[in-house]
Amino acid sequence: MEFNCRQKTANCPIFAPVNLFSSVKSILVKDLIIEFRNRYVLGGILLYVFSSVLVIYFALQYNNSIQELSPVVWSVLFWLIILFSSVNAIANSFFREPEGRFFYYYWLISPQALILAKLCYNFIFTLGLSLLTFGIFSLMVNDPVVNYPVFLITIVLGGTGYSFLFTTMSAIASRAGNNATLMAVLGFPLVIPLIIFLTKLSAAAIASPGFTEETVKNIWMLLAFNIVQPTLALILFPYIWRD
Amino acid sequence: MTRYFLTLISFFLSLCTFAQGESVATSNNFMLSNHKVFVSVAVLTIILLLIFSFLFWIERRLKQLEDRQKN
Amino acid sequence: MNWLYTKWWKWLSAVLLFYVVIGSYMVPLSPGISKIGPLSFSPDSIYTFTISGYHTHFKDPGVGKIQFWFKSGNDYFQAKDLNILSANTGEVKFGIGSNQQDSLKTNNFDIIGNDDIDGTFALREGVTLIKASKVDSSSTVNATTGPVEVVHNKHQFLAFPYREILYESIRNTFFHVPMWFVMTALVFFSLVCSVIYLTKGNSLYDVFAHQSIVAALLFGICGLATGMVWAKNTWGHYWVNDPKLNGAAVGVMIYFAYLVLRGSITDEIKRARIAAAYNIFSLVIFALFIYIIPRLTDSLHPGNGGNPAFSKYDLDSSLRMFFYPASIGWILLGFWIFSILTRLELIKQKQEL
Repeated sequence: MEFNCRQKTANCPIFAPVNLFSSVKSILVKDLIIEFRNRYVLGGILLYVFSSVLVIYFALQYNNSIQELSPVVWSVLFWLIILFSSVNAIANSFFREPEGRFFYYYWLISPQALILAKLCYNFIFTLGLSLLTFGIFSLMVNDPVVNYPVFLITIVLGGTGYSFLFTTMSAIASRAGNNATLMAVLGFPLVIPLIIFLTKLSAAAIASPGFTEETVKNIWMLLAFNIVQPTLALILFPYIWRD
Repeated sequence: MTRYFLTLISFFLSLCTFAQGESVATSNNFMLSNHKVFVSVAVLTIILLLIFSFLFWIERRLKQLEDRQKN
Repeated sequence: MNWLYTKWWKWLSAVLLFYVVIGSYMVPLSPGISKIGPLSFSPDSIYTFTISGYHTHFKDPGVGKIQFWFKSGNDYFQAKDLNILSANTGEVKFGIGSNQQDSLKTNNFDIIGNDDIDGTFALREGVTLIKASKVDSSSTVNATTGPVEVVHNKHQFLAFPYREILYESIRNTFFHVPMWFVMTALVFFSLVCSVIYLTKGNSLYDVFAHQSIVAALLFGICGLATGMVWAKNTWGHYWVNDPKLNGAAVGVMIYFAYLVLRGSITDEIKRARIAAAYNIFSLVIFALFIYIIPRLTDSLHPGNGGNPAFSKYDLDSSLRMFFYPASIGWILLGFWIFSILTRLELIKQKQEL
């Protein structure tokens, strides 16, 4: 079974060959519509973010007053909440699909189209999640950010990094028997470099206005990670996906 | 074989008792002046010898297994 | 494939490692100054300093003229009235005038010695001058920057560099560092095997990739263990916050995850393909992590963050004499263990058929 999907669709008279862009778009739209219709999944994730912020809020209560957070601790807590909620959210993207539907996709589109659609979808989702977490976090705990441009770049790059990494890991884990623990085991060691740069950048966004040389260097590093990850995912996903 | 090795190991382990003794600095070379260094080298050599003899033993066993599978 | 079964390189690794273990312990450290007393002095009086050498040969016949200098900035002040007590200890007299104290670049004096057998040896920032509050112009004490007459700069015997903090533990270079070389070599070998597996689909390469990761993990753990013992003796703690250490820990974690992933898939072909994909993905991320981050942040390790590498002190290549054989020997041992694991796995697979 070594021939690729395009040949397969050509062999099969029912389905006309579909181009990459339109198939990415249709999967993306389908996923968004499902997400919107299945509002309890979305609601579950929102509740997850809200309750973890609440847990941190109450954990910080000491002597009837909220403890002051240093920039580093603030950004560590912030990125950890996003980490755990995005792992939970992204785990759904492959686990949710029943086995049969993958078989159906397999006949319809190329694996690159599927992984691109999933990457885009998870990117949008994680970005929304990070902004939402920031909103709730600044509402309940505090908002020490002074440098919004750097912080927004960090959120975008962080959301991208998380979503790309965990999409690939979720694809791998879904092939290994839909095991959510496995996804954490596989993904967490690889997320460490990202976390290091994200905490550095957001602590910098809290501490000082303007772009320092250090900040620019860290942004380039994150960009490098964010380019390498989807490239690898695109190359490797056909092998992961094939049965 | 095992008994032989154990005897050998216990013999060399007993050398450790000498390692604790006070020794007069006969030369100004710290490592060679007190003879502890020879104990360390002896112990290390024994460990290496054990590792390598174990590896060669496994090698021989594997060869036997491979030959048996071929026939 | 045949190289798994040939014997000569296995013998070579055994010979090299025996040479390294026995040879490296027999080579002494080069001469140095281990301590000096008193540790501080004030101007305008002559002090008697007791200097304790390490592996020095003050009493040997061919030692020639033994000289000591107190060095501040670029000024070499001569120490006078040398009195040799034993091969490793000597007393010198030294004092400085209060009218000289303001022309000094630094208050910390390096102690430098020289003789014909030991060459030049030194203790950095051994003695501190406590400056007098006012200059006493009637003082007769005056340190002179005498001429530096040196016959031999290098010691006359084979020896490892004498480094503060490290001392005799410098020999761990032949054990700790090659462990990481072995791990890196095996991990990259596994990457190549995974790529070949994905392109060719030959299940032999999957076995190679898997077993080389197992062997690499073994050496990774050994590298962590030797590193931790060394760190305790030099930096004071078993674990310090150092990018290289953290990178190593992450690497070991990634490859344990790889083994967990393999364990959780039962279908053989699926397992091979997904494990290969994860292997390639994680190794590229890990390589980015381990090769870029230590260059951005400071590390305690030699050769990083402004710390000079060992090669700088290794003037007469005594470290290289053992380090290169050690690296080759350990790498061969790593591949030997890998070959044994692979052959065992192949036998198991044949048995099941």
